[in-house]
Amino acid sequence: MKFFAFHLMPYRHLDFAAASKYESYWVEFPNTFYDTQKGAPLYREYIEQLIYAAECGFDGICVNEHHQNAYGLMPAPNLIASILIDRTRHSDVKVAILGRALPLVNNPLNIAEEYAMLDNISNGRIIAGFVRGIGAEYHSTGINPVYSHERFHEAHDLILKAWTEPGPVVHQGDHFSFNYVNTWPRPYQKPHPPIWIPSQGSAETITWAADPARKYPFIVTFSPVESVLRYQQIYREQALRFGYEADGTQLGWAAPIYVAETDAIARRESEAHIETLFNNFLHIPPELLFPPGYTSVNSLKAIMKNRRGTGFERQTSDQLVERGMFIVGSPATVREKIEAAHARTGFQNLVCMIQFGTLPDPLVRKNIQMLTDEVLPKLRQVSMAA
Amino acid sequence: MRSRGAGPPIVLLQGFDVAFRDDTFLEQLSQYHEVIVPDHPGFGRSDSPTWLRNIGDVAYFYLEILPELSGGRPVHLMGASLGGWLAAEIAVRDTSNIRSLIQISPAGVRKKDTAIGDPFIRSPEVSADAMFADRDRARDLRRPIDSDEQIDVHLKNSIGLARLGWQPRLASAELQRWLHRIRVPTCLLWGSFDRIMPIEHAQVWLDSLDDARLEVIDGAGHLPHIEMPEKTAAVIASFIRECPE
Repeated sequence: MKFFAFHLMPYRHLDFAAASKYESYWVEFPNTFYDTQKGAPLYREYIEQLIYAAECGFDGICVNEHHQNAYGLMPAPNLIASILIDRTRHSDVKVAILGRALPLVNNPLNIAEEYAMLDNISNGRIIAGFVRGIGAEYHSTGINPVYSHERFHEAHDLILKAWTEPGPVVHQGDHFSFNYVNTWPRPYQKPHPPIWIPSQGSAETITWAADPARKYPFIVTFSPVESVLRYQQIYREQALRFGYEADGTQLGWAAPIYVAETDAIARRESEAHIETLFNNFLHIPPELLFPPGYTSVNSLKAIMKNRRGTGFERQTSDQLVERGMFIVGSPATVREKIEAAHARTGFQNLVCMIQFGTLPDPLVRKNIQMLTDEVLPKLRQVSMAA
Repeated sequence: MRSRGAGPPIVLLQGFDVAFRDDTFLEQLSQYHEVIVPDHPGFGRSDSPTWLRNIGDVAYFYLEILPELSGGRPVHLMGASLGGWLAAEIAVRDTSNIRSLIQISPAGVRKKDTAIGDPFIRSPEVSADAMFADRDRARDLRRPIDSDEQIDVHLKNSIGLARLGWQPRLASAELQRWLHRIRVPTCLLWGSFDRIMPIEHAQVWLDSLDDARLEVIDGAGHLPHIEMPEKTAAVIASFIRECPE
């Protein structure tokens, strides 16, 4: 199994008491809540946490993109990725951007160029994540959510064309048109950097990712463990329908993880912080999370009738643990939980959110250290044996 | 499609939220007119055809079916909100089957740096309230959305509205440049408390249209024909009476 350390870079100094009169920390949440004196040092703190994770033995470190919110201060993840690439230049640590939101840009070739630059600068150590962006970002960017899927697929095809076909070539599409697709530099990795698809899961996306022409690793995020495993199983079944057996490296699970000396200590130290992640930073009303057309009418209907889960209702730390949305405990407990899940589907990528919500620096560092000292080495043995 | 009454035809192009009780308004108008209320393509019980991509597609669709809708008679084309935008998009293209244009708080044009009410960002209930000056009456005038079919229609209409009007929000950049092509008599009706399409927008229309008048419905919100149906219908009837044959 490969282990990745993932960071959202939340604005953890938020004045929660003052912020509580807003329904959500997205889209319309005033940026005057951001205090530069408190926010600027967070970049240093968070970058150092990821570098520390790389030094401690994670196989890769990950960033991601979100816009206009207090939940993640990383609207341009490639800026952070380029720092991480340089800081890890004497290692073979991967830098994964999970991911860039393809439909939200009007020129996807910019993404092809930036990824290709990072791939060259890192001598081929990047993983290129492709996402649609969350619903709230269609409010923030003005991109029409009705065309989200179309734009994602067309942007994907265009970027692949730019990376793999000798330029210049033409692209005439419904959303993007270019007479001269001729991207410099070309990507370092051949035929192109690995592409990962992080998603909360949908049958259409799984079918698309599992297609033999793509075989993109599918990373299930922010979901109860049973849903994660169900989606991974659907991926495996879909691969069989396509006539091949999916490799465990095509499956991944992304979740917040916290390890401490004992179960009780781990729960106590993480409780308030994990609740801020799910109940404050991630609380998003359905009109923001699911703008018209972002999901199919059927999924939207199910959501309207059954307003449960992340973004809708408060979840206590206990509930998050029970649903397996948060992996927490002593090294033995955390190891067992991961092993039990791994035994069900054989996923080979574990993306560990090592900082979440308001979790302060000393606890993040302890978490990274205990994970890499006491959890990951034994899991590596298990998965090697399997 | 709904149709009632007899007389010179009015085609009413509705707004996107059709859950409002418009019976009184239609009853008033249908005393002297045949009132024809179609479901737009991509809305209500209509299909969402693949050719439907933007407001121009809907306008051309209506230009093709207008003679059929009205049995070949020229019509008074009336639009409310989204329907007003659509009526203008139709009329800038061709007014040969149109006797007059009646615009109830139409969307479609932008006034520099003037915000409009966002129909997408609040819950359906809060959005509906914002359409009325009197929020208590809003509750009486809106049918509850609870059956499966009503939810389907509501979701479809939201997607239909987003498809046409997400960005630029409920307007087309080109429309204003061509409004001068509309030479039929035009009556603009606007509620004085319109929180969705603030009444400042009326001036943009008046500046661009040759033969237009503004009728302010005092005390009404974005949907004066729902909130004050008798008064609104009376203003429209008097406008139509003055229209040349």
